[in-house]
Amino acid sequence: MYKLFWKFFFTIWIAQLITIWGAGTAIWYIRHHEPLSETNLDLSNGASYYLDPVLSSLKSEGISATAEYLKKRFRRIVYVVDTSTNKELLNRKIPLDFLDLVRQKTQQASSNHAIQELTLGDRRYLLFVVDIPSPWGNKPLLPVFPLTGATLASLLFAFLLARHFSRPIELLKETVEQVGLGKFDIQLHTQLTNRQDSLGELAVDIQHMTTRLGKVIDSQTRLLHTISHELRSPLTRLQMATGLLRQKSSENNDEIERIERECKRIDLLIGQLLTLSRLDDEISKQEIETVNFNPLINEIIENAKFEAQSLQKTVIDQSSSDLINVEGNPILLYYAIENVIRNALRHARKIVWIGHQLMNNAVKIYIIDDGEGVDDADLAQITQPFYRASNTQKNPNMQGFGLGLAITQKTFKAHNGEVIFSNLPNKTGFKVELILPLTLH
Amino acid sequence: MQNVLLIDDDIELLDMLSEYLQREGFTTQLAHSGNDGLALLRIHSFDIVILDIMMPGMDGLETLKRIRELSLIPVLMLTARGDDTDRIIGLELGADDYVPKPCTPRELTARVRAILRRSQNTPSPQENNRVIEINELKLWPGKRQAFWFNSELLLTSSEFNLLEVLVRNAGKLVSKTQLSEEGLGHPLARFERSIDVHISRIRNKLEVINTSKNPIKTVHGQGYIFIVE
Repeated sequence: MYKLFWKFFFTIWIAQLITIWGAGTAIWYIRHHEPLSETNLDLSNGASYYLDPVLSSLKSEGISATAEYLKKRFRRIVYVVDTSTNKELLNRKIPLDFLDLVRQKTQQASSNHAIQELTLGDRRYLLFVVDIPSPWGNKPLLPVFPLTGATLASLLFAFLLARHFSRPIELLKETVEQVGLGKFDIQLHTQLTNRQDSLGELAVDIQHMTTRLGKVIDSQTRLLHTISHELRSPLTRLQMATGLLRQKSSENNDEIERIERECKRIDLLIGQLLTLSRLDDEISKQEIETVNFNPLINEIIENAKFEAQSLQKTVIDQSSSDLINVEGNPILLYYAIENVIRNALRHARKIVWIGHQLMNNAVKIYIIDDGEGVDDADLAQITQPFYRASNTQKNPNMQGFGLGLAITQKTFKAHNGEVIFSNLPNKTGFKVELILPLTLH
Repeated sequence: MQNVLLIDDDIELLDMLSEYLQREGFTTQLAHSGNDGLALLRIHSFDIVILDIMMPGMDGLETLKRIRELSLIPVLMLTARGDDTDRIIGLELGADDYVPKPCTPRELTARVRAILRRSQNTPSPQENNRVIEINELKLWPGKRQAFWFNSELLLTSSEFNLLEVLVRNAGKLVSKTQLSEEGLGHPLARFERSIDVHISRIRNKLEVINTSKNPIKTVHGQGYIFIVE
């Protein structure tokens, strides 16, 4: 949920930290590498305080030990210069004019021993103290307070900035999710509409788009509904005329039978289309009741067994006997499940397995046939209205309109459930899982 | 010959249906609006009304309400398939049965016959006076009359048939399947609610006469029992 916020937050914060620390380090570096000038030479009385231990160390411990000692010092640095080579003991760079300056000042500093000379064997050393002030004045080298302050400030700004960007996106995401669930009359949060920037404009654009989309879908559904409804009057007249024709012709007439059969098919198609268009709307509360699931599934299975006999196929009932009650519309659920079983019977070679089991807060119904299954490419599309899988088109016996599974899916979606299609390996069968929550909300 | 009143705004359909019914041995009169139908009903005597629910102007439900104000004549509704609301309201208003449109004339005629078979058989005088008496209910199947606490029950044809089935099986559970087959003359369709609506109307009529006792009990999901005391 707040992933985006944390992404923004850390990116901004780390960017700010890098800037702060980077700038700090740069300033520190520059200050420490400025060429030494007169101001760096410490001629104060205190200088000898630093020089004396170095001097005695040089005398007693020798050069290398003293070098080690010098390395540990970082402010008020004692420089030890070999006067014959002008080399510093730790090879630190010293501008020549600075050395000249030191030599000039030797006399002046003799009174307080701020500059001292030492002869060790054949080498003469000049000892003096260089004071490199920190960029932040006479404060400790690590500027804890400003850095902490800057870090805290960056924390605050990173938080504000991250929220400024992520909050509208989160709000927009929630809104678009509603659209995904089929709700097209979205209301934008005032936090979005009040924004004058691109994100605010984007939100308003999305709202306009959604409204239009909703209108288009709405008019399509209405059109479908109207067409289906209007087709019924001519169909009724057609059936009447056919009935009269049959009444008048005494002998058995194949053509009349054919017309009657096709009329039934059109009637069935219209019925399915109307169901489909109705399922686009939410199921109204009046249509929802507590459904005793066991007799419902048992009746479907009994009918399936009966139908299987005439197809010389077998239905194996694996349903559990747990008593299950679900919230929903029994008629829609009945046909939704029956559609899948009809399909399975049609495509099975010999056997259809039907079963159900209670899961957490849901009942799972599975229907497996031992047919060829569906081409993987078709799997995602088989719930599209009027879609018929390619292996169905080849077989004239597999008649249908391609609406059954669409109705099934919409029904289960309307019940907050789910329909999962999968092939068994090596074209050995096809499996449909129907997941139905026990309660609707 | 049985006289059928057809009320539907679809003129062509009605002409064909009328011809079909005449060939099946009925006499018919046609009305293309609810008002025309009511006018004919006031003048002539009919055995049954076939009434389309989806009509412009005064719709079928309104027409049905007014027919019931006039008489208890059997009414068969034509409803849009899938439109459960209209169907249920129609049955609640006292229609005897319904046929979803589109339908074949054969189905329609079968329904008409199923309703008329019960209401129109002309029994012998002995049969006419035979009475079934249970608790405070007196029922003359031949005369198609029923009394409850000595007040006459005004029942539609379907209501009378269903009550008769219940009373004949008094004290026993009668399934909806049996009620549909014996009372309405056709098998129970899946998710059919009409039995419940009819029974609820009968119960209401019983309660109007005597509020304290209602002999018809519901056995949820199974059927109904007429209780014998």
